[in-house]
Amino acid sequence: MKKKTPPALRAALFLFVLTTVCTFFLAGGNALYEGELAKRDESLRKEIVRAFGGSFTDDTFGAVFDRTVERKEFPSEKATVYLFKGAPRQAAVRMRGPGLWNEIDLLVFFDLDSNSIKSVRVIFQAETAGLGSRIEEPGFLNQFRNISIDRPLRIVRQRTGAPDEVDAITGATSSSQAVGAIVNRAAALAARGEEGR
Amino acid sequence: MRNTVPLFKRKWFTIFLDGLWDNNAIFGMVLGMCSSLAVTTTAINASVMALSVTAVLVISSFLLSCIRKFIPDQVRMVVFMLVISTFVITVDFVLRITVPDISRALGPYVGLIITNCILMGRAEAFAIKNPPLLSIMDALGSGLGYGGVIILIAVAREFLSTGSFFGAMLIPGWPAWGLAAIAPGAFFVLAGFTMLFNWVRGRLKNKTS
Repeated sequence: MKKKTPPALRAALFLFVLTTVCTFFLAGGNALYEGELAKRDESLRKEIVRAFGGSFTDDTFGAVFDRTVERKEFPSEKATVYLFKGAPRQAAVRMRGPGLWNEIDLLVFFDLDSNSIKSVRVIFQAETAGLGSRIEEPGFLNQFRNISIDRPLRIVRQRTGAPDEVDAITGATSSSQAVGAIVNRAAALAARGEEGR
Repeated sequence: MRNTVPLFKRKWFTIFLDGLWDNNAIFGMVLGMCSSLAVTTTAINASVMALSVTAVLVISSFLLSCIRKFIPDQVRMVVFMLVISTFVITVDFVLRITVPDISRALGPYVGLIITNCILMGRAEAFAIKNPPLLSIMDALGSGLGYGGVIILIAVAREFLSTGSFFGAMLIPGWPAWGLAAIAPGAFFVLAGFTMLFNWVRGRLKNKTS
């Protein structure tokens, strides 16, 4: 007579098989995701090397990056500082900070010889559509160019002509100020990153 | 011989319609409230969430229905959770790769699809007892019912708070009603639509009876 498998053993076996299948399925998904993350990180590093004035091909990029750029992580600041090893002294800081609804992720380039901001790019933002989301517009971001980082810049509702002022977006003062705060923190971090060299 | 049963009386269609309208997850059963309030700040975010929930619901219902005869009764809830969470994590990977900005804007709510009562509810109430094709129709009806409602709420909230539709500005200079963009505003919009839905449903029921 055929012996019947005890229900508890059958349940355990079923769960073991299902868990194994799910684990392998997710491991495959995770491998694909990790590959994609690596590609994205490389694309950002290429943008930084280009901004520093470096030239490379796909084959030489790894070597050019290692030779010309020093990378420093600041996990507590949610930031990464990229310092150019050559001249003129330059830095790029990728930093996340609080926005109105979600974190804002910025990439800020600095000229450390003239102690000024070269450019600001928004990597991610989820500010209010039509209002705060305008922080990505060149009209707002171009105002940061050439501002000195000797002292913190100010986001103002109406400019008085002072060189450290950035005009806030009408109706989106909070989002504008959030960007200003991140840029100021990034500037301080760029200087800190330089100190250890 | 040709099937002469009208479309609206066919079993698969009535099952689909039940989830979509009669037993709508949000308006009818008041399930999935958390995400329907949290991700409806913009119509694009809500659309991605709607698609994600529908995809996980259809795939997990289909799979659970296929293996329903092998699932030991005493561990069925664990099996539901295992299958649902596997597909939710997969959808999360897909979103992070294909639409990273929206994925970040949705924050933890994609992962929290695992705890969405609609998924466990449909698995326990329907997929475990019915064949795969009917389970797909049930999941599709429930998923689209949930998705349609959150998109509707998001369109209203986005328009009221910014005057835009799917990110495109419709009325420049719109007097932004900031409350609609935050949680209390979401409660007002949801309550308004629930009232309207139940009023329309009541009228339709009275007409047909």
